[in-house]
Amino acid sequence: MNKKDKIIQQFLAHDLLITKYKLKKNQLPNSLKAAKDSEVPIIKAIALMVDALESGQVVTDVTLRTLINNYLNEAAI
Amino acid sequence: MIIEKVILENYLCYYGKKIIELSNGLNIILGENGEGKTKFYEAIEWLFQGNNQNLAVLVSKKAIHEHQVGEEFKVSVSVAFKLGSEKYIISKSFLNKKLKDGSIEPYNYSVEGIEESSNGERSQVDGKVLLDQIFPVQIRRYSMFKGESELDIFNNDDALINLINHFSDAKYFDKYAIRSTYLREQSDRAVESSVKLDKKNIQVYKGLEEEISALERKRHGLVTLTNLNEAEIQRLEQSIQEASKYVQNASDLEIYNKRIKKLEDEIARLMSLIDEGYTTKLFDENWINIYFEQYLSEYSKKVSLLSSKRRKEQSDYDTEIGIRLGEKKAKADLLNNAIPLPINVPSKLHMEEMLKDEICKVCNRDAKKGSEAYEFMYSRLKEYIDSQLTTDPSDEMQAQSLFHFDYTSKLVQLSSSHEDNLKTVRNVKEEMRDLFEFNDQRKNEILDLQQKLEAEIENRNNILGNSKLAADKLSDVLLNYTSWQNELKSCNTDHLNNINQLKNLDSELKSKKEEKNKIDLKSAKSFLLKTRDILTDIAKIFHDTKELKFEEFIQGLEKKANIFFKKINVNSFTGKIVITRKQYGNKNALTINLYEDDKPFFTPNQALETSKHIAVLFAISEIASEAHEELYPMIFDAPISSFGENKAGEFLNLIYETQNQKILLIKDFIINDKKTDKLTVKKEFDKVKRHKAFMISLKRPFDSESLKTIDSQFISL
Repeated sequence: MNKKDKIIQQFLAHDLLITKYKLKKNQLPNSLKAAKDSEVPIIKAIALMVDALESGQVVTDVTLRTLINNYLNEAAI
Repeated sequence: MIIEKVILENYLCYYGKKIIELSNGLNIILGENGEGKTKFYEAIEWLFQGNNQNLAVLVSKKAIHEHQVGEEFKVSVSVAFKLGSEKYIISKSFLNKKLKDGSIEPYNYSVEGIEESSNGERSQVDGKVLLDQIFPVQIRRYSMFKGESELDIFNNDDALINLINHFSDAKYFDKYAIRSTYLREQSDRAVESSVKLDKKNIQVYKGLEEEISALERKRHGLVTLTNLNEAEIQRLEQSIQEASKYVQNASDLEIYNKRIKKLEDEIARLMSLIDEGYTTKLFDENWINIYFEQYLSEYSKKVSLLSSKRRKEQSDYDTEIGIRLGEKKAKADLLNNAIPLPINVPSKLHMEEMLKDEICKVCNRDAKKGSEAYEFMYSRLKEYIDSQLTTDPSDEMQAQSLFHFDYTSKLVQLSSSHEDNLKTVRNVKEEMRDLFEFNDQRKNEILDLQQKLEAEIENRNNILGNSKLAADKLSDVLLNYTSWQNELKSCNTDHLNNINQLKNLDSELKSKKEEKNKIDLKSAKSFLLKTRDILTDIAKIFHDTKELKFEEFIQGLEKKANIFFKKINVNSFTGKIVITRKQYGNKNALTINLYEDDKPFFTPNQALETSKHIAVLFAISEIASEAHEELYPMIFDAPISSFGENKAGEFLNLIYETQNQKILLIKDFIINDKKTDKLTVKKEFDKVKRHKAFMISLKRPFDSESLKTIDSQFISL
């Protein structure tokens, strides 16, 4: 398991996903790739952030915001 | 990673080249004070952290002395490391030239690094870079400790942050927390901007924003205040707990002190009443005359008798004088009471002439020899001639008194005077009796009070005997204790108020936010709201995860620390190490306390305190090793001074079991024979498990007043 997978697993273990978003444990992806493929906006948004911040490249606030907001705004429609 | 070898050359008390080869386990270096133990530690410290300032003070005085003017020599500290199959040497050195005045000029300071690959190939690299690469500074920070006080690494605010940053997973989540907060704030603004497009909302919305902002500022301030108050409560509880073991004593002591003071005052008052100036009173107040009356009485009788006798004698004498005077007067009467002529009239010559001529030439009549007239003249002349030879006894008696000195009268007067004074003398006996009775009564009272005082002092001594503090300090403790109790009461009240205020603020904030949210929901674009909701949740997930990692790290540290702590203090009371995290504003801080039955135990002895710090350090070392997947050496100079040899032995046996390399410099287990000035190692040291042991000692003989003769050496044991 690589570092990105470990990190996303830490985030996806949060209770909020189960209590508020009504996700079941087996619905939670166990890798970054699986999370990026998720149709659950919050999971995919988290995955996009982990992917960006662990890319090893400099990601500015604006770039990250554009990436996440574009996805979420579109996903929300 | 291990330190294989340390090479010192002309560094302070190490003259020439001195090499110590260490094991990869526990290395114990014994050394008496002043033999070079700490200088060895400082040499390594200089290599790792030192700079090129004040190089001259690092030079061995013996080396300076042994070299000729103009000669050059090197001072260096080198450490050979082994990391896996790779070997590295890091050296810090400088050259010195001896000048004419006997001083030296240091130059050519350098830090060199040598890498040696597994096939033995060597290459020279930057020593500083190499050091940071193989022994990172954040690891070194938790690897070297001098003395017991340095073991408490959490005594500064940045310690926790450094620790977390270097060894905790929490650091990975920092950037997520920061970025997600930014995104949430931006989404908030997007929603707000959307809402503000509807002009009828602007006024209400702005008002709500301002209120929320003000409430949040207030809340932030209150949270900081609450945390500070909590810290103050903890400090006071600690102080009170420390004082509590004395305070019952202190309270009792205060009572005993008051009682003792009262008794002492009363004794002092009674003693001041006692008048035992008996010698003074003997003379100044006539006490010596206590039996004077009976002597005076006897004296008076004698004087009276004497006086009576004297008067009688005087009377007899006076009578005789009287008789003589009477006779004289009778003779005068015979001359018809005429006043007789002076005895020398007629003169002697005329009288002799008249007797020769047998004529009384006074009355011009014959006075024949044998006649009455002749005889009268003849007796008259004889009377005159006799008067020239003797005096009249009656005149003589009259001229001199019977007693030349009036002693008797004086004695009578003295007697009379003493009689007058008898009244005061008669009181002496009574005065003496009264005074002796008074003094005796006071003495009895004092004796009684002194017995009570002794009992009170004994009770106080029992209190002091049960206390580690001196009496005056116990009184201070009581004063502080009372004031701390009052402060604690006030702090607890403040704390309750703060908590209530926080609840009210939270409720108010929630209400305002809901109010604002209603407007958002009515007016903002729905997709913006959904995006904001998700970003708010992501921010929460990221923050919570970071906090969770933080907590996990602390729990892990606490768990590991307690395992070491129990091992160090096997079979003795330890309590439990509890690491608590506190937040002051944006700052985190850790407090490490010992708990006993879920309550802080603030007053451990020094050995327990030291073992607590060492346990935490070992735990950190283990965490560091896990984080970097490498074991690092730990070097301690005199870390267990308070332990005592038995506990030191147990401690060293525990260290022996730990994995990473440890170099301990201690002064235990050495016997210094004062007569022979010979250092030997105690037999007890044989029982101490170790991988290698050395003794640092100065080469004998040396002049304790001349550094030129000082040369420390490593002796392998």
